[in-house]
Amino acid sequence: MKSVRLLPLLVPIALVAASCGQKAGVAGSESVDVPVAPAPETTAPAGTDAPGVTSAPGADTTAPPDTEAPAAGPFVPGDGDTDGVSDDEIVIGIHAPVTGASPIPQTSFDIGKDIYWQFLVESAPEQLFGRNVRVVFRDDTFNPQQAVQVCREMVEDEGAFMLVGGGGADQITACAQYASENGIPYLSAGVNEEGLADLESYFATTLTYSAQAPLLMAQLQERGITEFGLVVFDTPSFDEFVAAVGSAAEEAGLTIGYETRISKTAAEPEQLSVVQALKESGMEAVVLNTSPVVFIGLANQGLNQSYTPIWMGPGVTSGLNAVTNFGCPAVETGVFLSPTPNLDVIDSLDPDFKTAYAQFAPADAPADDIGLQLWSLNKAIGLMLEATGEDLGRAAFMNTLVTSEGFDNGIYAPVEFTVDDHFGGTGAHVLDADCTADPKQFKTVEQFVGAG
Amino acid sequence: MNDQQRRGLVIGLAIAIVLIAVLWLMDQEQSIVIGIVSGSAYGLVALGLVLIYKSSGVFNFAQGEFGGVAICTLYLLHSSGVPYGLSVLGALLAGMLFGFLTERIVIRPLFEAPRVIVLVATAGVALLAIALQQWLFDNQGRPIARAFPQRDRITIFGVQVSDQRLWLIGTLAVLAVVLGLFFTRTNLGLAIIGASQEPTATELVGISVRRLSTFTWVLAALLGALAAVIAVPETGQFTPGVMTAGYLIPAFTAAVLGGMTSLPGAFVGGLLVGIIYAVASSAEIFQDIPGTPSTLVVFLVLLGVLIVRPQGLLGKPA
Repeated sequence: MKSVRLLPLLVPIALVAASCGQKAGVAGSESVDVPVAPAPETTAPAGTDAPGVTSAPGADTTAPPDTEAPAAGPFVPGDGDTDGVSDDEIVIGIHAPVTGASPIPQTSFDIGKDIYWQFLVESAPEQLFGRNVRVVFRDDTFNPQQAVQVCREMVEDEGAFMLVGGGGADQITACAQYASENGIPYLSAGVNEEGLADLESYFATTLTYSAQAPLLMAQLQERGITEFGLVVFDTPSFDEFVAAVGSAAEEAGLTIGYETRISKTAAEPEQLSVVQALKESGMEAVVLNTSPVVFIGLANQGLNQSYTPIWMGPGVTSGLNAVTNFGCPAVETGVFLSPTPNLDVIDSLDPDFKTAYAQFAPADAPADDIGLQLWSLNKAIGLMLEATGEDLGRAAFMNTLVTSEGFDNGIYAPVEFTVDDHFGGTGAHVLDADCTADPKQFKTVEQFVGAG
Repeated sequence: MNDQQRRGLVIGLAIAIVLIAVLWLMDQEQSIVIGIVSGSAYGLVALGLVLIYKSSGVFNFAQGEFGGVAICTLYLLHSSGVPYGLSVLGALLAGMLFGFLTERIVIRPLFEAPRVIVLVATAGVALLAIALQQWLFDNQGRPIARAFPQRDRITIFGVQVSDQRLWLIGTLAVLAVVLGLFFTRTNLGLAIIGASQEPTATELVGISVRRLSTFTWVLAALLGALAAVIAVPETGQFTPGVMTAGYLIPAFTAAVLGGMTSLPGAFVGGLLVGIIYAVASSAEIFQDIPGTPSTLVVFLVLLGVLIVRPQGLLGKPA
């Protein structure tokens, strides 16, 4: 009889338990450093030129990459240094959430991940010394534990030379920790710094959330906002973003009038309560760092309460056109930073993008912003591989990153790493939701802010 | 209404009065409104859960996806130019058809199987439905139009209540009463209860238990579909699996809280869960709890109720 009585209680608890564990893969994973030599006093070996800023064709700054010998640096080759590299192929593993709470459109992702490499093989095969790049993709389901699992698969089963995180802070952190334990280069767009700053093989190619805080404050000031609300996911990874916004606001003379954390799976009552509190606090702008799904939920609840503040946040996912596609008209007042501009200005920055899409994508798959994100990331990686030279290995690659002056793909603000700082983003673009456009999309309102 | 139910009702009312008083003192009166407007959807899904549980003793994990199928159908029909009213009708029929197929293909072959096997089977149906939606929509969200455009029909404690919300609350209240009467006053309703408690005896008096099962599952599917087509458009958009991810767990909680055998209990449970979620999300005292305080508080309340009253607020003892 007791078990019968307990069953109704156990079922929902089991359901919740099954849906939890989102952060379990992040914490508790001990980092084992990759082989690292003492930092060199000079950044270039004797007799060789220091690698300069490596630029994409068409970009302003150019310095020929050192193709004679791998750059010296703190990394020393370990076991499996050249895994995933052969005379004719480099294997790159990408993980991203195409299912789960914050999905990225899978079709766009599947098409976009290869376009740049196809274009490069045809237009400039010498850039990668005659090698092709084979991209392996795995869905991490927006789950850190799954992210570690798929990263291991890509390395051990597919022989990936390096790993790339396509989105999701907790998933990126979890997989980057695995990569660092195994000496595998790991690149992603900037997310959090906590949990990543000490990882030797992790590199952020765009501004982290915290680094975007001052830019967000500047955007608020440009719009005449003096007081704003702050809504951030309750994952520990975002604590530093909350702190950074607090500091940046104080420095800019702005006030946080209402602040709250919201759960990753915020139910309707929670969303409505947050919106009501924001409305009652009189916030004309809200800085938020959540998934697109929760952002759209908040914006819709706001619209239902006749409350339409400026919704502002760091890049990348909330600024995707998928958000305007199904979030309009509620997201009309959304303004988001992004490492790339949107399609409206890409021709002036990189005319190859749409050309390549027309050439290599299926006829019914026009160029989109997911494709642009992937194109930009791959283009930056292409420059890094080129700068490393023909003798490609994991240590040589990472040495090149930390000793080069920077990489300018013409779309991102220049990416600059040092031995001590693997957060390479230097600027961002500003995107503004346009629900009147057909199709509904974000438009680029400012380029390269913060990049000097 | 027997003594047990009367006691449950008194306890429920007492909790409601205490809750309202506490919320008032905490300056949380808005949470009552937020809880009622959002908890109504949980109540409607919970009605379907209770219906299946009353008739067959099964926790139906596919209940949310009866609504999932309906909301996808509503989107597909309306975006193809079908008038909204006809689209809603089509969506309800699609939900009912899905319930019918679930009963005929999954439930009926497992009629003699242990209930836990049927429970797992319903979870399988839900996962299959979600996977199909993900495939159909590339796992992306879609905008969904509402039936009634007015968003501020009335304003209570500063919370605007839309026509769509009023439709939802009204539907829930009417269904809870109508279904309650159906199961106590009609031959068919009594036959369903009889079939769940004494299937052999029910067959012996000439009632087809299997046919009753089909009827019950289709009715439960209709409730799930109703919940989806009324509640989801209020949020402006839907994603594949939204009914399971967003509504099923609170609805299960509501059903258990109200009493798994009580249809009015599902109604009360839904509203209570909505209110507790709202309070836990906004009240100052919960803000320092790490993680998701709303879920934690809801389950603490559930635990407390079940310790004091294992059959739920309005349910009958097993």
